[in-house]
Amino acid sequence: MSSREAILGNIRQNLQARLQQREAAPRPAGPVPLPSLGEDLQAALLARMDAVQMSYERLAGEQDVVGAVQAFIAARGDDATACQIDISPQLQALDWSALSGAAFGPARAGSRYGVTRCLAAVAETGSIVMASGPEHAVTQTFLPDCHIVVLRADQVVDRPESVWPLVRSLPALPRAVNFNTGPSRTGDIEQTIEIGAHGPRVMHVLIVE
Amino acid sequence: MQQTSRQFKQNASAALKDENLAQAMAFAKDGFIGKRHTIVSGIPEWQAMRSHAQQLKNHVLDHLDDYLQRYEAAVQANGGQVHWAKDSQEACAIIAGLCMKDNAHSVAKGKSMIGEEVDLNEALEKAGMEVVETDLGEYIIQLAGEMPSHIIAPAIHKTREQVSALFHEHHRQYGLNEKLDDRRALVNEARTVLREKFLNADVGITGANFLLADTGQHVLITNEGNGDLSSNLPRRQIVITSIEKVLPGPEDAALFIRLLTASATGQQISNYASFYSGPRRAEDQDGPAEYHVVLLDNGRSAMLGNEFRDMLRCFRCGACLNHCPVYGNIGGHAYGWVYPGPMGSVWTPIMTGLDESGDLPRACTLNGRCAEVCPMSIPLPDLLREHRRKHWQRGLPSRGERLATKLWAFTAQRPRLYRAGSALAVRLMALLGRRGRLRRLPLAGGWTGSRDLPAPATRTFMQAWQKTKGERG
Repeated sequence: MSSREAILGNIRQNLQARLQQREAAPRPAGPVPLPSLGEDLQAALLARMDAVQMSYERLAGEQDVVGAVQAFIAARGDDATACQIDISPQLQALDWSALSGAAFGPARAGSRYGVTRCLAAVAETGSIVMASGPEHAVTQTFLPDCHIVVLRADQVVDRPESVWPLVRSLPALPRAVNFNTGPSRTGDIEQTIEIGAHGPRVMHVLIVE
Repeated sequence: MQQTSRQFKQNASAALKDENLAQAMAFAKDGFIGKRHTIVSGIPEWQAMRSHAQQLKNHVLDHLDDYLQRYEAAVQANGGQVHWAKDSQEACAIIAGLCMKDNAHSVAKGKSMIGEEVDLNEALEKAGMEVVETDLGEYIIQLAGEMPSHIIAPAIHKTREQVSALFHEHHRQYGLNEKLDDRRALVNEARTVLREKFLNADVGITGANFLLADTGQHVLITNEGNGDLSSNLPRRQIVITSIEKVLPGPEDAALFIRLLTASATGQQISNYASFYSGPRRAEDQDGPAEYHVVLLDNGRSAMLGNEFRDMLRCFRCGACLNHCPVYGNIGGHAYGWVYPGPMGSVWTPIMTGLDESGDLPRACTLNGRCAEVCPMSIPLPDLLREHRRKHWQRGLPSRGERLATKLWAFTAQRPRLYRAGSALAVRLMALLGRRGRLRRLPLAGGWTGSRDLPAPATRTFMQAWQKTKGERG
């Protein structure tokens, strides 16, 4: 007998003994009771992003994205024409010619900036949600020192549950669905939080109205 | 790693005298408890959320065979493979086999308690693999050659100075010559060294917090992002997990993540909550070429039918450890195996036997804080009592202890005798006491050896009660 059959057999045998004594537990009915979020989802989202050390700025439109990325890189003291910038193919339509260090595709070792779009942002938690696919590489959100995300204001949803209908509307289940909530951190030394463990040290959101 | 639960008492005594441990545990105590309290007290629906999750998990456990088969079919539909392992040896053999295919030799490992349970690192190293733990806490204890002392903060027992010394000793090969003093420098050092390991690893191994039957996804909850680098950079991905972690679908996971992260670290959600399924798709830009899940039983299926079934709801948040006065004083290593604290005192005897670890469930004051904070409402004190009952039935306590317990039971069942005896004892002890303390007491050397016993009042509770009643009329 294979281990699979042995384990499933053992599960059934033990459940049977138990379910002779009482009924199997039903799936709980009704929605999960959850704390309220208030009316203004974007305000809730921004408050959460503050709480988890994410930074953000508002842009009037897509035409401002490249300039905002450039200014962000300059403000951090990096040279946008020299440092390694990995840009998601989702953003390839924009004119990135001013950033000569830019490449389109999965992040490379030594990546300084990763720039991506996202699928949604969650007001309850401040999470940015991304789904892998032909136009989004997962490494872009984990390898670079700084992750810059372009979020459209209409992509804000209330709760993590509301992300899944969006995922199901994609052509196929993506290999990876990542909820990223602020820069990487660790509390493993003296139980004190330090930012920048293995993932990005900075997470910056460009909110496009 | 060698289990030392049998020497629990000696371990605990040594731990109480360890100044580094006392210093490290002092950092831990307030942090975890305070952060959890802040978030939970701000959620009026907490109890209702908890009860919903408990019901849902009970439902899944009552249909575990169905859910596991649905999960397996969904993983296969995504292009992944599921391997079933009855016990630790089988899990290690499967994973070693998967690792060694086509001359792979390096593994970047994310933190996994199931990996610790089966002692995976030792098995992989025996098979000739280079295994690097990438969670900072796990990396620290790997350098130190120790077991984790907490299920979510494996190096909680180490001071910063100890971490600094470990890096100084082990990172000379990477060019580190000075002793790093501050936390940030230590974190950066680990980041730099481990980044190379990620980029060069052939295999990525992580655990899973939840498995989803509807989609075949596994959910990985971390703060550092190491689990995600392990899941995306190497060409082969292996998930080591156990059969009770399955949930229906991703919407259900949302509730469980709220309960888990609030209870564990006081966060609304961890930095990274990732849902992975199968290998990279044809059009994908990155991701592993292979995706394997190893599903471990190791005695869990038998628990479905016995008195320890409630323990299968545990999702390893660590809140019971953080709130346990015993754990808070002796740390995790004294328990002698991979799972410490209240949840560990239930699991360890189930998995390794009462002969090996019978003292664990007995080192509990039954104060009940663990059950109160458990997000899955596991009646931990009841389960610990169940172990004690079995321990007694099997005649495992010492002769002296059995005699004393029988004597107590005999008098406790005879109220007059009990009252007379306790009145006499109280008067004697009050006489022996000096300034309200007893420095020595026959048969209680275990207590008075390290501290004074408060001398009792001159009357028993019953006597005081009778008097109060008399005065009130």
